[in-house]
Amino acid sequence: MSWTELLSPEVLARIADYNLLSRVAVEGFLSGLHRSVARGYGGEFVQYRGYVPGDDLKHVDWKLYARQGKAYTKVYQEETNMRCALVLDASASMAYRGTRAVCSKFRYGAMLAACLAYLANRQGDQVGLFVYSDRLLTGTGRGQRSPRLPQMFAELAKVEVGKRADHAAAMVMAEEYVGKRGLIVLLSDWHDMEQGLARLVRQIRFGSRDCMVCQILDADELDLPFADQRRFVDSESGDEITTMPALVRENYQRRMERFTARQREDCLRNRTDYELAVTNRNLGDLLAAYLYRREAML
Amino acid sequence: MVTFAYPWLLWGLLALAGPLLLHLLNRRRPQMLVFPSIRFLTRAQLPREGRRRLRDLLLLLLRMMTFAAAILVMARPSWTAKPAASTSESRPRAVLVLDGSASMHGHGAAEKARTLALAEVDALSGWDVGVIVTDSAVASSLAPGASSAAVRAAIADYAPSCLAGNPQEGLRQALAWLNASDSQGRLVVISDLQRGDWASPSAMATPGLEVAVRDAGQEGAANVGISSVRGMPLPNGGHRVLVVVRNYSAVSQERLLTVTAGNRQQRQTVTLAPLRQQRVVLLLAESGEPGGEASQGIASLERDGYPLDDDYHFWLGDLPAPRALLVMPGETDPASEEPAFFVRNALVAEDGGVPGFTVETITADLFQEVHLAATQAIFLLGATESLAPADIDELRQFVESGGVVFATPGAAPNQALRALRQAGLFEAQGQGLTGSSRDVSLGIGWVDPDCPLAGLYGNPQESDLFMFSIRRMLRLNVEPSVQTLIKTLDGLPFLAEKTVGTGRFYYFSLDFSLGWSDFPLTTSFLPTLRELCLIAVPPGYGVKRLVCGDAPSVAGEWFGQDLSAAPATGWPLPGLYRVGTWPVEVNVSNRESMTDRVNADDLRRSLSRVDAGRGEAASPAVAGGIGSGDRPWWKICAWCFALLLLSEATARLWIGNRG
Repeated sequence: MSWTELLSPEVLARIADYNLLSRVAVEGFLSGLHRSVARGYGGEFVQYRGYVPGDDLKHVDWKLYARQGKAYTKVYQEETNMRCALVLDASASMAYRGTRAVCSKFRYGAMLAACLAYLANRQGDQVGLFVYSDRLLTGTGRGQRSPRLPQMFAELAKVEVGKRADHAAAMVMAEEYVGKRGLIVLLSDWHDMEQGLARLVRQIRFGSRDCMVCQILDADELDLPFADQRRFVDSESGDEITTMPALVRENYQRRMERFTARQREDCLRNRTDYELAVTNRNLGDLLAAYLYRREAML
Repeated sequence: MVTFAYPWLLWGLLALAGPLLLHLLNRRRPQMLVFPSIRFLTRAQLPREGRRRLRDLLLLLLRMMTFAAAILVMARPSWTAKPAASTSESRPRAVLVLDGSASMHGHGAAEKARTLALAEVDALSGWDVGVIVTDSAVASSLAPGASSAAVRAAIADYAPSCLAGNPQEGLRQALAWLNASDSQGRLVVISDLQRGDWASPSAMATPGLEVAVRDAGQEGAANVGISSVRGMPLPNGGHRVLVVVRNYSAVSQERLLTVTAGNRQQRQTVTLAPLRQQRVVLLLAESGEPGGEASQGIASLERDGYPLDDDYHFWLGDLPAPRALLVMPGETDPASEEPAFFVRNALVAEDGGVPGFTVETITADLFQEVHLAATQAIFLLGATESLAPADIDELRQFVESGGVVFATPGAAPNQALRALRQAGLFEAQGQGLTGSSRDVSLGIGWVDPDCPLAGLYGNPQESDLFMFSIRRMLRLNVEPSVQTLIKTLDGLPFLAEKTVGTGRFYYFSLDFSLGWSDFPLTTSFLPTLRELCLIAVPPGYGVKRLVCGDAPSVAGEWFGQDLSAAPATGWPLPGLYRVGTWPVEVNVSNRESMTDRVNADDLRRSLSRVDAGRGEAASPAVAGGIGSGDRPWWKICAWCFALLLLSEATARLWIGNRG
């Protein structure tokens, strides 16, 4: 899986006009597209405050002074760059590829991560990649320089999918990397996090960090299209169940719908973006739609 | 009764267990699938009853029926109607077909066949046994149901004939007997399996009938035979005899050949390469006693395993002369006798060994009374204008059937030419008489180089055709449909020809009397008439050559000979016979001399094979015989197979969509 495979020109062309914007103010050292927690003399006007000695006279609103006889200084929102952590699940469940999908769930997630990394990198943000299963497989340390995209993709290509997912351990590393403010993008199917996703998102949001949850599922997982009797083996636990899909399909679909709806609700309740990515859907369309919606919300 | 062409294919029905087994295996071993999470899946009991089970059973049934239909198509079922007059007894039937063709005379085949037949009768105790002896047709037969003694007597009486073998009729008869009973049947063929007789048997057994072939022949038998003999008279009264001897075996053979005719005899030893024929010429001296036994020749080879082709009968005597008819205008005109005199003398003369014609002279008013079928040439010596329209029509039919007619101008040439034109025999116009004068000298100047006469007059210096003087002749203006063979120096047609049907009509523009020209006195007169007359006389005229059993009608035209004296089915034994004045040479067919044999197993398989198409075609012709009432069912099975295949695919798709 080379980086050229991850970054499809068609997909990049679809998302070229969008920026990955953080909905919360981020702390950054470089000037970028994101609002900074620091008020000062950036490009966007925020409020007036009374003039205090030492303020730069060029920020005094003289027209207001002429009308009211009192000097006010204009305060601007500083714009800065942000740290973005892309957290990708590489547990065994992500290896599934259905008959209608163009690739496995992990590959789809990797492509999503690559596109977002490219987008962030293009607008000058620092990007860190965290891939995990039962442990962290690859990650960017807090003190490390943000890796260049080709290096990041090379790391991604080395990843072997398997074992169970331990989301919490990877979150710790991602939070450390992002710091107090920044954007964490979570890419997983969240199969064993029916209860725990809300807590996880709340923890991330607690530090005023922006968070985006992307649930990657195969179309087969949503509608269970199989006709004949099957012996289903759980990819992570190894448990087996033999059943007639035709008989249990209705019940399965209802439970799966309830599961995704709950994940969505948990995210929205914590002011976190939620996106359901089905692997037979065009990646470019998915990303473009999401980024357009995100820009519109800001 | 349902019968199968390939019943052993029905074992394939065991393959029906295949779909059943697959269904069972598929139910027991569901396909494994590694799925991301099975938390939301619940266990479901397989439906043992209800719609699912019904759908499965339907699919299983369709698959099994598809398999069965495919196997039935390959096994070629057919419906054979039972004979209406079925015999009440249930004893099994057997028919022995004994080959009685000429080849069974050789290498002790007849004796061996008799032994084999008796052995079969012994083995078939409790069966109704019938016997058929075949040569070119059914020579003798004994229907099943006769006593064992009668069957043994029939076999003891069995003797091969001298006819070429054709077992088809015998086989059909045997199959008709066997099919007439619904009990077990067995067809036993006893033969020397000579390829000439069994190359392509077309009668085939119905399914379920047991066929056995017993070989009475000898593998690798040597045989040398005489293929043909021709005797030609020599000017000295002797004969030149050309004998064609053939070696049918794969090794060289040496035989003593003897040619005998009356008290004359010649011998020569012949050495023959394998599978080759050789021409041997023997000269027989002049016979002291003409006719009688001296005319009947026989060529004989030293005896070998098959003696019938070691003798060959041939005719050495005089051949019947072809017949010419001279038609005169009437008895009242003595001048018309002169042309008839010249023509008669020219025709009856023997010329270079070629026998002369038998000439009959009649007047025109008796033309209707003459039997033209026995005539090869007609000379209308100035008599055309005397013929009635009915006579002209008969003349036309004569020419169309291959005869030759010569006509000369008579008293009213224009009237004669008009009648000939109306009959479509000759298209020309008379433009009056012309003759030599002081200034003009008439004579022959040109002969068509493409006509049969060109061989005679190719070199003008050697012939007097161009030297006689013409005193008087009819000036003819011929149309393009008429070909001029000889012209005068002035380019006037002297002899013109028209082809009508397969015969020829010739018109001389002068009369054969000395008042018209000196042509009858020239040496060219005789060969000119003879050459043109021989067109109507085919090669081999006068003697007929037949093989034993040939009907006289196969020998072609007999030119007016009365065939009622000849047996309608031909002569069964070799020898020399006569039909009217014509000698007939009858010998054994060369086909029976061949030593090539068919394989017994191949023949059995060939006879056992059922061909539905041929069976259908044969059924109307052979009532109650093979294929009678056969209805091929395999086409129906093929349609069923196609429909079932379609249904199975549709059902599979439907069940797949329904889950």
